[in-house]
Amino acid sequence: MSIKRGVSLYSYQQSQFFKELMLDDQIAEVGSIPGCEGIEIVDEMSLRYPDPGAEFIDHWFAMMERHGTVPVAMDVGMDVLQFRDHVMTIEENAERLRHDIRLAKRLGFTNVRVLSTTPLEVILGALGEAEKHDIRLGKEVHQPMALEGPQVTEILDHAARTGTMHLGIVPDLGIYQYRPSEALLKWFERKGAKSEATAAATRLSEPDPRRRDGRHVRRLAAHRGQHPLDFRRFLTSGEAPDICAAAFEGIRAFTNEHVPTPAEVDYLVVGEALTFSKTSPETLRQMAGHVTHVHAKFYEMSEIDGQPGVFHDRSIDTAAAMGALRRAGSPGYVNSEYEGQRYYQDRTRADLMSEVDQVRKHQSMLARLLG
Amino acid sequence: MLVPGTYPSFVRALRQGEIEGVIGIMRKDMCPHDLVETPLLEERFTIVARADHPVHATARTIKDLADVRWLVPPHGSPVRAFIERVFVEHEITPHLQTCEIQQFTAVEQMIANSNAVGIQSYSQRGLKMLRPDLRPLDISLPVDPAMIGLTTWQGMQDEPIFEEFRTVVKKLAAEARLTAPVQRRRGGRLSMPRPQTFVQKQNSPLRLCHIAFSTAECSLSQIERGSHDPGRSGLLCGRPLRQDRDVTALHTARRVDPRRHCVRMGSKGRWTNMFDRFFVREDSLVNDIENGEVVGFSLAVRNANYRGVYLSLHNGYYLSIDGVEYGRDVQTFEINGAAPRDFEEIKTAVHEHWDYDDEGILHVRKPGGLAPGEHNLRIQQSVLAAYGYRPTDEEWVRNPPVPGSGAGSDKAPDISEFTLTLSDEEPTR
Repeated sequence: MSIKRGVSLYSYQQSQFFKELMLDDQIAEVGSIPGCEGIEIVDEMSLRYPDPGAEFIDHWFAMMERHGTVPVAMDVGMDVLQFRDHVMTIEENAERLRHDIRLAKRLGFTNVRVLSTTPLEVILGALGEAEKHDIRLGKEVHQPMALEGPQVTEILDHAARTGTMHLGIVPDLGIYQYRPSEALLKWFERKGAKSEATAAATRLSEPDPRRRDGRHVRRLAAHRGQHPLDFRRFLTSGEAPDICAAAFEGIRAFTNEHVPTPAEVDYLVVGEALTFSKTSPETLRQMAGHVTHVHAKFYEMSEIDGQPGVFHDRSIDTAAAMGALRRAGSPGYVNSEYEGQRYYQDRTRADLMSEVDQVRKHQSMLARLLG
Repeated sequence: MLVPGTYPSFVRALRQGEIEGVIGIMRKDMCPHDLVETPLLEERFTIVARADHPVHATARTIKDLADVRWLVPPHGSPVRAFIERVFVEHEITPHLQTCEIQQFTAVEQMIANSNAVGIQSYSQRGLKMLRPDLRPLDISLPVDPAMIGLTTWQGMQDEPIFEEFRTVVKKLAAEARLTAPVQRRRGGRLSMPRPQTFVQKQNSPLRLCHIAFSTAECSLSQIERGSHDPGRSGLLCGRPLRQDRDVTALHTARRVDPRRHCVRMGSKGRWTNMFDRFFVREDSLVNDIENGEVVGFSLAVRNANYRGVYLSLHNGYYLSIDGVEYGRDVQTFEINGAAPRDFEEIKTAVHEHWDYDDEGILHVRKPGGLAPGEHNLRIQQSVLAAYGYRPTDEEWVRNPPVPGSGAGSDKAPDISEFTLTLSDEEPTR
């Protein structure tokens, strides 16, 4: 059984905002992509929430049938200030999650994705409900997290200890990003970053260690997946978490060396090299049995040099991740998740990206990689 | 007592309990995790020169000021970051600092006695009370506000006296916000605010932002009367004594970290904002008419995000039209087919959802409404959506952020600008 392809309708958030492509159109679009059938939604984006109504449920299944699509996963949120007079307790969050599991079941989904920040206690508080409805709960593993770390281990440990089949992880392929995306670099340049700075960021992100600048990169070696805000705070206040201080100093030195009269924005671009998760494809292969489905995150599809009409995302090593999943031989859905559109929203409406076009190019890349 | 110092030193002093609060331009997302910023009032970055400076007659744009001598605060300060960004945007090489002064009033004195121009942040009221030998330049600048806030350590238990201080500061800030705007344009020129005496100027609430009070030398009653003496300078004082009505506040940092230019970016992980140019419908501005009378105006908004939220999380708007602010006390929100509700009522809509596809109508009470024609709108939507638990949760239950501060907004933390045209036809919706 092979890996199947789908699309997270999150990819069409901008088209929906401008009412160019509403839910039905989005499902039709996914159904029209060759070899692609999976549908993933964000509940509060695609549905009348918290209850879309019986009529909608009928309509939903009719749409699935008409377009040959399959409900794969529903992504749910966690807004802890809903009641405004207190911060929601673990149990209140678990109750919302139990509600979302029932809603997912009504819509025929088999997976519910919870945010990477969801405490394990909340997930466990709803696991019984998930088992009852045969829904798998997947915790998202999102950049700058890595697969190697306590947030993933606690999930896998619990699954191993209890033998539950309804708890796993949702790797977001942003964890295989190894250099800043073209969308982000262009955005930075519009914000005043110098071309030397974007070049330095790319150079520092060079995956081949023989071509990297060893002196600086050694200082980054122990470093993994830093949140950009921490670096920005360091630039302003000089404060850095102990573990990052050397890396932050390294970035500053590297920038001073490669960028003439660097401004804050230049340091920030180069600092992007700190945000990558550096997670190993081999870890993904080993964990594949616990993967409920995959968010194939991407930022910008561009033509591969010398191969007209063949596209890839230059910043994310999707090929390595797909290779790991194929070697593991585990079935499941890989869903395109486009997020590059927001890097153009500082521009005019006419300059915005076509989400439909980007997703189609990404799907053709996935088809190529999955064979 | 004036207390010059650096932002990091204040941060350390806050953590050690040496001081209880810092008042100054908020660091927002660059604020250390364990500190809490409470917005007080908005100031504007303003270029000033001495009142009889020839530059008032000659300078029309920032480019005309490329060759004058500047007094700028040190690198790392928000004011320096702001002016350097303005320079860079106009392709002017930023100036080197010729004179480092950490003290607000000393900068004014220096400008008054020299040919230099300077930039500082002023509240509307502060500008009105500008000392008579200074005058703001009529140069249009980006309208990024300098949000003045009170920074405290989140682990701090307020002493009763500090709680009282908070109340007074908030009251003074609210009064400053209510003051009529200075920037009434007359024939394209700034009308000169009629300054009062120097002494009175020092007593304005604005001074709270720039002057440190020690426990020993300044009491609340003095602040209220404005009779404290900011001239007595000294070192950082120790933990406040429990003297009756004594308080501590501090001047914010003037010097933080060198070599930065600041670029406005959102506060989220990737610093990109969502839909902040698009969430207000451009043809939606109309006057609201009730029983034949114009009672206010309204405009249509969407959720500036990729999803909807429980309605209770919707916390209102920072809204300023043609320089006049309209607070949440005059805002109501119409959604889900219900009559417009104020944000205290919206807060209780804990089981009702504002769906992603739905447009809401923001109504603003203003007898007489707005005049037909173009209006400059500055707006920021506050929605307390989050990704799981955050350090600010408990604080936001007690003290929800005031819209406009950047806190309490998910994907659109900055104030956006729109130019909307109010049609004089009858509203159609």
